[in-house]
Amino acid sequence: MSFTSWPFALFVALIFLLYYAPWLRRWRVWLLVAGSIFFYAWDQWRLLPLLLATVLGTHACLILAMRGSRAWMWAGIAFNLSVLAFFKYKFLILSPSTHLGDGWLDVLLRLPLPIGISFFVFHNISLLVDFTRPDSTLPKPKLSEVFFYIIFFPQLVSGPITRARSFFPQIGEKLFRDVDWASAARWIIAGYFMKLFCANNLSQFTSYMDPKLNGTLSSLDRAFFLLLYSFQIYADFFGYSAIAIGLALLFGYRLPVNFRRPYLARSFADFWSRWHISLSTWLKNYLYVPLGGNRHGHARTYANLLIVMGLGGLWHGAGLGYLLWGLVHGALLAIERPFLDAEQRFQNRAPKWLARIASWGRIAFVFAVVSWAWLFFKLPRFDDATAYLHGMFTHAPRPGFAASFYVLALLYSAPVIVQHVCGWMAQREWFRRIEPAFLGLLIFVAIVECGPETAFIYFQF
Amino acid sequence: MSIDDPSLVIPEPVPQPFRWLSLTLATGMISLTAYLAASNGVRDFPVGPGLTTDDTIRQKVNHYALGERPRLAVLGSSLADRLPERFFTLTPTRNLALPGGSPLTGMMLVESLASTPGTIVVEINVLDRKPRPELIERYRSPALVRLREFKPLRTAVNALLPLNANDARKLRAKPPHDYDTATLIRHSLVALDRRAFEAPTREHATEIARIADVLEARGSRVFFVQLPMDPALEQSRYFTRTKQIMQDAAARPDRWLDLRVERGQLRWIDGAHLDERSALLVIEAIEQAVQH
Repeated sequence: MSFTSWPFALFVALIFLLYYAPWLRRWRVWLLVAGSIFFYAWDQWRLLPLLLATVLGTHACLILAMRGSRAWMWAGIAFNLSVLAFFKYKFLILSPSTHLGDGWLDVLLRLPLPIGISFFVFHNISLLVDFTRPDSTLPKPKLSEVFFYIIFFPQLVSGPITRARSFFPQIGEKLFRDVDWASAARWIIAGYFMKLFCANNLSQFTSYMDPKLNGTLSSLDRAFFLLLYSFQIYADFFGYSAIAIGLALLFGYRLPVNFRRPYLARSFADFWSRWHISLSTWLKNYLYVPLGGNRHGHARTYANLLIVMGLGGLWHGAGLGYLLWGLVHGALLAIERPFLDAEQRFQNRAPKWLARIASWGRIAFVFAVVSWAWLFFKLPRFDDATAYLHGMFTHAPRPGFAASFYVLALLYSAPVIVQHVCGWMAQREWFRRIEPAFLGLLIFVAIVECGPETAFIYFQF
Repeated sequence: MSIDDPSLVIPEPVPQPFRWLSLTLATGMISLTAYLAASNGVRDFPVGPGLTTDDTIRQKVNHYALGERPRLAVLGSSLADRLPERFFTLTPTRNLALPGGSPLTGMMLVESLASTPGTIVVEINVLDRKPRPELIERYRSPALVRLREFKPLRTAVNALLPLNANDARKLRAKPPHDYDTATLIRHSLVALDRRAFEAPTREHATEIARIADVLEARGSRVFFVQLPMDPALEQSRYFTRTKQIMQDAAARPDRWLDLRVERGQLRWIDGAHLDERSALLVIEAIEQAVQH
């Protein structure tokens, strides 16, 4: 059930009404669990048993681990990673044309990629680790709470990935009078606006990047479309995360913020503290730090960065392009690391105007490189990505598009640029006064000027 | 406790949330009401560059369905789509040829609307593509189309920045521009050779002939034309058979346009699609033929 569909709007309205109904007070968590199961089954009812089995398996391992044997925690992690590896990477060894029989393994091999698997597996691992830490103060969770944490519908399909230690303390009595309407509305309206107006409209432009169509693009247009894809993927994923955060607030739950104006990052490390924050935090806490982080010398730190980012790339999909994207980011993090201190010293000592110019120069550089790397997301087949890049640096006179084509592209990108550059305005008193009217206009523009229906990019992961 | 986790979203409540929410919704509702009133007054949508093929088709169909009744309508596939409306002297002319589509879709749309054009020219080079009746369904009610399709920003940009318009006189004075099309024509011939086109072409030709009779009974004049192409393509089995099938379906010879155009002046960017200068020459020949 897509967030942008009418059935979803009806579903949320119904769940919301039932959730705050006084006679269902004792069953609120179970109600959200049942609603989330319905939400998941709407699109993939055949894979519902798999989702339920991973939750039950994780819960069993957790209970056994909390009774004293941490080996069960590792067993739980291995179980979850096996499920993820099987469904996500089976096509690395299995071609779609492979003949499959009727055995149970063949049936499993024939199943499609379960929606949201990358996200619910990471929630399961967070649950196992956070509850079994020696310093954990979390009480033994109920089965209903475990289900709720893992399959809570706003975050089930594409996150944000919430840490168990941040989510479980929030489970408790929720009252209708405590609903933070303004915050929920801000996030939901901003999310829908970014998705419907920006991402969906921009998807029409970036469809020219597809291998069958990009042969007619000039070098400059290729670079321009890469820029547009940067705006599209941000608007799309920010949109999803914002809607999820807003919906969770309606039910009295706070999810992690996933983006903090990432295209204003001054370094690649800064970028990863602003982009898909819940994933980068998860990778840092559950992979980078356990691998040793930066505690074992330079060489080990660089190796850890490459491993973590490479695996982070593969987490998105089984393709050389995704791996390469992760490794490129890992290499960039490693390369810039020795220069970060010197750069900070320069910022402190240089005249203000020079520091400001240098700062904007770095922002532009990081944005350009990050945008270039998105190519491996848009065209995950390595050959397609390199062919596109080759075309960017090969002079081939081609007819461009009409001026209005570019003007429209910039208009649909404008909200992303404005949000990044003028984000500070949101805290001003005068903006607070006009905020309701501003949000009302966003609703209007999102409805009348929306682009064609397009699936959220992160649904595929 | 971790409930104070700084990574979690920070609530920013307002003092009077229901007043705040009402203001938000009221602004949205007032804007939408103004939009509904404005969209009802729109009589035509300016056509801008298509962002995708579907987008181009939607714009062209909107332009046709909502605009004034044209004196001349051109229907067909992407080949006739190359004939810009601005070069026609019979105004208003509407080019309803749909890229990637079939002339049958255009015929069905023209038939479904109450008002029909004075003259209809149907390009019949490609007839085996399926029609798209779903496009017709949505244009049954112009008011609904206005509501669904009127995008204020998009309309404003298309109106303020019209497509690059080359002057017809200057274009005619230029010498023809040559293109390297040998490889593209070779590939096209191979692809056309593989197409199982005869059965769908026959079916669609019969339907086009039927609609032509209906439209003529309603007062329109209907003409068929095969647009000129590179001789290698024009003489291919696909195009000769398609023309033959359409001639069999619409047996009257007076419905066929004889284009008097100097072939040596025509150029195609890929062997089939006319370049702008050649499109101008073909348009002049079409206008001459329909007025004859």
